[in-house]
Amino acid sequence: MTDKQKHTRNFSIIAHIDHGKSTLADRILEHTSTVARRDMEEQLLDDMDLERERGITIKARAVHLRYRAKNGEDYDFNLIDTPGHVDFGYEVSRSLKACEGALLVVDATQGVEAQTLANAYLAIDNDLEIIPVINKIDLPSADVEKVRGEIEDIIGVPAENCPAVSAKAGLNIEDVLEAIVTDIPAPDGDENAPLKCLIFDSRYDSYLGVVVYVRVFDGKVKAGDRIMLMSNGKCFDVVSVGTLMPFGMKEADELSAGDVGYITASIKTVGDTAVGDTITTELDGAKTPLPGFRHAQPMVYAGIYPADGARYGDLRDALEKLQLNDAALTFEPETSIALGFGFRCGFLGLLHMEIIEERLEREFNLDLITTAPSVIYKVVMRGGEVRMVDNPSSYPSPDEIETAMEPMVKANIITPSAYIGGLMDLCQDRRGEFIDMKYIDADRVELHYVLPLNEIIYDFFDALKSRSKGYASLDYEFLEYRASKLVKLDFLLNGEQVDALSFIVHEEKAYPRARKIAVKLKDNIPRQLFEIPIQAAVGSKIIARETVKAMRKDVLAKCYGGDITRKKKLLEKQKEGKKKMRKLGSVEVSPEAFMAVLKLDDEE
Amino acid sequence: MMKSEHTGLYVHIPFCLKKCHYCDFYSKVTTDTEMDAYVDALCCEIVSYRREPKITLDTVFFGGGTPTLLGEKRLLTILYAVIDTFSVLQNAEISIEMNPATADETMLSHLREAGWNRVSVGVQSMVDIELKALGRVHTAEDARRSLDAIISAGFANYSVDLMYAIPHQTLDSFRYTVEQIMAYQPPHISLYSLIVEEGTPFWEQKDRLNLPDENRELDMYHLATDYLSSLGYQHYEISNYARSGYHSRHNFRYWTLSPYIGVGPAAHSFFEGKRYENVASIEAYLASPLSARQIEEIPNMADLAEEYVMLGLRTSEGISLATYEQHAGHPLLKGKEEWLKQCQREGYVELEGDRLRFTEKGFYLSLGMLAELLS
Repeated sequence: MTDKQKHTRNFSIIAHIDHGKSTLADRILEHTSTVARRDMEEQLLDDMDLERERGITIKARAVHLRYRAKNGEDYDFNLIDTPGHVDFGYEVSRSLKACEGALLVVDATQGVEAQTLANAYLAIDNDLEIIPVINKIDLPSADVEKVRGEIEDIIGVPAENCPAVSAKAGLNIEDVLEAIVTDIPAPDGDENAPLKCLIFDSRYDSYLGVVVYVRVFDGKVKAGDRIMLMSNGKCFDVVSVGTLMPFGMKEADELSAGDVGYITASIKTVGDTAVGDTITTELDGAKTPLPGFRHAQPMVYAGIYPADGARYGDLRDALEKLQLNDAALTFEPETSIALGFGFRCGFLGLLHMEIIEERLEREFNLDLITTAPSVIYKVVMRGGEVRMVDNPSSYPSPDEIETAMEPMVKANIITPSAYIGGLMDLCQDRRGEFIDMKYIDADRVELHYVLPLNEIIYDFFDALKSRSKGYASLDYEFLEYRASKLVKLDFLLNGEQVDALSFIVHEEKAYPRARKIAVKLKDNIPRQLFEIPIQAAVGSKIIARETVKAMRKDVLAKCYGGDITRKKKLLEKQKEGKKKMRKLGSVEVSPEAFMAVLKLDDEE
Repeated sequence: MMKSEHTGLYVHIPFCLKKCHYCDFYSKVTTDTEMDAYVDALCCEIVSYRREPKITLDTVFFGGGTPTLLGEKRLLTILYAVIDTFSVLQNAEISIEMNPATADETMLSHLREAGWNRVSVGVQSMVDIELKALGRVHTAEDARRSLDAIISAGFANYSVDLMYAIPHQTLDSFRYTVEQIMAYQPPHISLYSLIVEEGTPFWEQKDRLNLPDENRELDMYHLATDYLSSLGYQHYEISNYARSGYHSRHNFRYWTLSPYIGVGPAAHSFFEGKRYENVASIEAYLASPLSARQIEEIPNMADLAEEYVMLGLRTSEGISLATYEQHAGHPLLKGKEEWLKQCQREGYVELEGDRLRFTEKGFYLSLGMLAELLS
């Protein structure tokens, strides 16, 4: 081990949402004098507005810090931030892979939660040294000893002497820093072996091209080297390497085994630098990549359309820009009779989808109409051909299908025991298969279910929160495809099918969903000149009906005398409103009403 | 419905005893001095329309505001200026708007002798709490007295303005109002639904007004329409009903794209192919009545075609498809055949040869149908 390696510590901070990960990161930055307090914006690591508002970190970032320990020696810390949400599980695992240790932040008032556990297990799976950090000890309801017990009992990590801090108040931060030095192993790896770098993140910069964030496991890399990405064999010339400072990048002569830093090599797209891939040299490179690479697979699909059809081009440009920094986002042009031209987009999960929608609306000023999210169904056709269907409108007709399969996930729910009944009902109702239930302590329970993913994307989070008064937390991972009795539910307005409203649903759920959506359509479609029949159908069978009664009054029963202009303005307004309307078959519906219908809220 | 060759004159009198809660027309409470100054300014603008030969008028309409507030002396001054400036046809319709309790029989007789031959009285309701809710200054009793005075003064042609969808109004109270008024068998009725306009006191409190809902409002409309047609009134325009021969000739010009000159602040004109709007400020008007007029729009053929549809379909005579096509350069109903058929099936629209018209049922859905026809 080199002297440099002996004085390097690579670590992550993992936590449940709101347990104070970002605040702790800020304090560490401050205590290592990397950032003067006055230069600090709150929560430096989360630099997207959206992240700050939601208190979550979406994309991993890394930062290099220097700390003079109590033993008088200087240490180089690389703090690698991780996304805190289940949608980004794979990215979290790659960020953890780049570290030797992790700070596991647990809120002293909340205790261990589903994501704490999920992230802790990920860290353990990656052989990381875990240092529990109990946070928010300044709050009156903090119960440090209880939380210590939970960490030991549930996660199985010794917590007897772990730091207990208040990141917000800046209490006991030194303890954390010393624990990093003493408890987290120094990185090893052979400087002279062939190069092996793990990509744990990348971002697109319009001047530099893709900036790749890496952890070097073996060998060295410097400007001028010709590197190869092992998953796709693409080669590039390194332009620069360096460390990641809080306020930007600092060029270095080289990165060597044990280092965390960046590489730029005039790479044009983040699609080439997949998270988890291994970088080596083109000549005399490593024989085998680092283990664990896989392509990020979208799990949830939805159609995204501009509310104003004329902005289709803007929407495409915006999606392309977002994709520069988000290789997990996929999109393909799609046409809907009801909604016009748009895109079928693939996301890692619902949160990822929400983030993309919000960024499109906020950063690119687009009004969107988004169809109900769908999972990918695996359909085995009569002829033996297998089709992956991510769009209800391309779902084959029943007589062509041999077997239909849907994705199942392993779900882990942690809840106060008072809500077990309600949550078990919920999982039951959502076609869940009960695996087991474990008491974490006297008050809290961990429930394990196998659930169809399409039930989870149908408003499961909100239902979970409302049935547990917000206390239950959920984590899930893909398990497998299973055969299922699926049907395609269609809606007809005025006898015409509206493609954008179709969705795939389990046979047993078809009737209640059909009723619910038919009523919603009735309530949201404004009365028009003529009566509008609403029908829900499975195949040719109508399973629910409603009617929007004809409008009775739409008149200007007032005399404006010779003020013709005023009358014209009113008419123009009416015509404008008409233009904004979406044609659902022969029925006109405002974008707002359309969204209201598509919004899935199962819990009343 | 024939387009008039001649011109109409609208004289705006922007004064009221008190501004009603729903009113968004240009008017204000005033003083004698201001009224005198106003008459001078108005005459000045009227005289500016002197041409050689004189412009021929076949309708003159004094509207407001409350024109009768000026008093007969000032009104006569204005009328003389009109007669002096224009060539007013022998059989011209000369109307004046009044509100109950602003003119007695003597004054009305004098007005009739001077040349006015039609009065339009703003009764609105015969239920005092409804009148109060509207912010009207008169009572039902005042309205009765005014109607008696109009008749005694010898006006054979007069109109009563009524309103529905008033706060607190019920179907029964509306029926009462209609019955009370129909006892007089007035030659003409204008029936407006209350529209809560932005900028009025009603707008501020629109959620607390206790307005009748859409269904009740519709019931009122049908009640009036059925009742009046049973008495032989023609429902000749969305908001207007008349006994045979008594439709408002002046208002008709608005619906038939016939020319009209408007004088006074905020008055509109459609004259020599242009639309004008006078500045909506008495102060500015008094300072410079001759520079009040501003061009609002010079409608082209397509604009006129659209206006023809928008306005023509407000009347029971409807429109001529050929006239539309002549102006617009394309047929109105092209590509809308299916939609039209459905409208006919539902009984909203009638198509008879060249003429397209809305039915009673269709009148009440006209806005959306117009938007469909014209887009």
